[in-house]
Amino acid sequence: MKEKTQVADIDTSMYDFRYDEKGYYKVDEGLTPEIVEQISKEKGDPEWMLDFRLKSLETYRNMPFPDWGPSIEGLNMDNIVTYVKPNTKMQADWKDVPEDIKDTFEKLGIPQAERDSLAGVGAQYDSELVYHSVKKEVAEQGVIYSDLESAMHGEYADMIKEHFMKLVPPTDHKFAALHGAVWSGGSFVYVPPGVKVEIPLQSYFRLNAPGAGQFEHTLIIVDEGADLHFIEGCSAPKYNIANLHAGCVELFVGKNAKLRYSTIENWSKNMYNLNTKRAIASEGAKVEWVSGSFGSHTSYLYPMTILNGEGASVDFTSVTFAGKGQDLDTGQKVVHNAPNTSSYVNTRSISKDGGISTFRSSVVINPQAKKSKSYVSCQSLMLDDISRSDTIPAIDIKTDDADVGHEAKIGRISDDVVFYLMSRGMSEADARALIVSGFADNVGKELPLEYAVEMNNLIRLEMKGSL
Amino acid sequence: MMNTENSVKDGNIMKISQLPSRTWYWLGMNYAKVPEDSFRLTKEGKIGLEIPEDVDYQAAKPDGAGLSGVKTGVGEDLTRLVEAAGVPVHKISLAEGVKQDTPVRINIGYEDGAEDANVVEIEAAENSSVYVSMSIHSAPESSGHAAVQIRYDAKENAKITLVQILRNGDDMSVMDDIGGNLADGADFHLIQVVLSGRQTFLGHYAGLSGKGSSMETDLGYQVKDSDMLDINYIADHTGRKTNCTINADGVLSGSAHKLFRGTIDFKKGCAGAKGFEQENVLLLDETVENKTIPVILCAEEDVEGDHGASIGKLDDETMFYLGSRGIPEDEIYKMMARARIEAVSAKIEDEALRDDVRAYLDGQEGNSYEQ
Repeated sequence: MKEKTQVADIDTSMYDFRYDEKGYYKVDEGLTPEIVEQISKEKGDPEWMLDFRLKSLETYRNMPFPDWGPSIEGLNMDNIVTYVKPNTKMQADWKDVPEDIKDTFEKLGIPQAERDSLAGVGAQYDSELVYHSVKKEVAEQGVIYSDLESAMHGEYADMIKEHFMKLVPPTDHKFAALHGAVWSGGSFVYVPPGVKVEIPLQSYFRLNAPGAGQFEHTLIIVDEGADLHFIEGCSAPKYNIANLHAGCVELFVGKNAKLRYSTIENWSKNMYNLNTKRAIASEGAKVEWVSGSFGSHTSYLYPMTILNGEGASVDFTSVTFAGKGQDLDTGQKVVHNAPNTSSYVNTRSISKDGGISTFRSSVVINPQAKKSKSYVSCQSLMLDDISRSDTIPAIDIKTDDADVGHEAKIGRISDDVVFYLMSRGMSEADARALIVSGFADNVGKELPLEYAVEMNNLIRLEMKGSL
Repeated sequence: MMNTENSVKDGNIMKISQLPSRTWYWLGMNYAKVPEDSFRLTKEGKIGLEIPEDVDYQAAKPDGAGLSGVKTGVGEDLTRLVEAAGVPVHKISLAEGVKQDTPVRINIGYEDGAEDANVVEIEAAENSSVYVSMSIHSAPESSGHAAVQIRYDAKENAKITLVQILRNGDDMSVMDDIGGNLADGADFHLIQVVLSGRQTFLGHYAGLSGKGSSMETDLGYQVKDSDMLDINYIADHTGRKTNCTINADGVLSGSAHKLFRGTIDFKKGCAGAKGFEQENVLLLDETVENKTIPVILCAEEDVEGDHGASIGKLDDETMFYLGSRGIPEDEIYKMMARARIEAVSAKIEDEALRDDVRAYLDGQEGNSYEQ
């Protein structure tokens, strides 16, 4: 039998640096009505938002923890600081951002990316946005890209009240309720009818403080006939205590509009990533999710799409890479709620060095969704015999007039292919890394070049020493 | 009698046919809920057996010994109810090296108002083989509930083939629960055809612990009106180079409801194992509901697992081809629905059972076993 060796922990020092939170404002650890009121006051919430937060807290307390996914026993909410405010206001000019924070985002390549390939950038540090900018020509098209708090007090206050946590109500699950209670930061994007934003907007979330939670809320409204690509990135330094990310993304895609939402998630491996993302697509709208999950200790992540208008469609493309100590439960949900809707799901999972990767999905086709089509493909790659990979896809069809296909495969890297590449002069490690990169190419080819390169770097890092 | 997962609010509820790995509760797929009081089993269902010469048979009092502890697909709650009924255990045994081609025939019939249980154990010693065909039936207008539990143990290189035809009344609920273990090189082939019944629960747990052991399942079903079919198949691969193949082909019409749970569980150490499952469902009416959850759990690198599902109406090409031959649309669907059942029943070697399926599809109520 072939001998196996296991890999030492991966060097992720490029993401693993931190600065002190000297002078930062923090609430106490734990979750009480007083803490929620304190956050609300600190943020200058309108009155309805304080009520909303307190009701969400009540919902949170009355809901059970999920018992069907990875263990979250290591997460003790009594030890989590739910609000950490850096000692700066949000800046629109990069030079005004404090040095330590600026240095953090410089190391992560955000300003460079903004200069090279983005229409606008938002940078969140712990609980607050510290920098937000949008290119002049994009702003002139009427595109709004701002932090959510500012938008809530300005011209778009009613629009936000109308949409905030309507797609993901706090009653959805325990961590949606938690989010409703303590959310802070995040972005608001509004793309007016017919406007096509040619280059992407990006938000980057960095959690610096140990034992803290990040609960940013992203609200994007793409109006009729408009087109947007939004990119989300995230990382954190590694600590020995648990950190929590329970963000929420709500995407409203108007008639015949198109929204692509791309994510490269690389949280540190002490992070509990309990994030909720949901899109609703109107008539003829198209939603595209492109998702790479590499980080976190534990993830529950299932972007959901509600195809609510006739002819709406969704493409979901993802890769999940679970390494040592990681239990990544990822997948997607789609609800076909209107005729002639279609969904296409193409996912890849990779497990190595004791990592656990679970693909979990659901496709629901309701009675009114006549002539709808759905196809789900999930492929899993096991890189050693100490890891785990599960596939749990559910299909619920409530009409005869639908066409649904599903396929899943699980296996390992073919020895023949490795041998072939080695016979062409590659080392075994390089051959295996190349095969894994190729396996994850479903996502890579959908990302802008700079992000595809970053993703391949992450795969190379993860594959280092995998022999 | 049976409630969907989310509708039962109180009472003594059994959660049967549990998925080995749970998912979101709102899908209603993790298990089936059945109020225990509504499924009390009080006596043995009428049973007739036809035993070929080389096969050992005895009806024993239930003593908690033998195969009573094996895992099954429906699960422990049903085992408890069956044991509480105190019905005899019909033990069919094959001695080492005995290869029996003549089928063991078992006929289980329920009367109106049934609260019946039946238990059959099949033990196949080394290098033996046995073919067991079973008819589980009740009159079309009958009501009641019943359970059959089949436990098996296949020793080294033994082969067991179990064929079941289920044809039950408009108000009958039947649990057909199977479970067993396979030693090195052993093989278990299950062929099931479900033709009718208000509520049918099928469960099968195959413990593939022996090196090179294999399990194959071929299921054909038609579920009509407001009938319900709930399936829970589990292939538990712990042995090296084990194989499983699960094929399910069915037709739903009226307001029929079907839930297929199929789990291939590759446990650590089952290097070289292969698992394959495929489900094809033809949907005939707009009020049907089809739920499918084909699961692969994997803790071993050197395995191959595949599952696929194809669910919907007939494709346009088939419709066009058959339509161009002058066949009306209604007829095309009837023909294709029948073809799916017949494709599975064609695998049945016992001609008498095969004829029963054909007779039923022709609108007759024949039961060759009873005759």
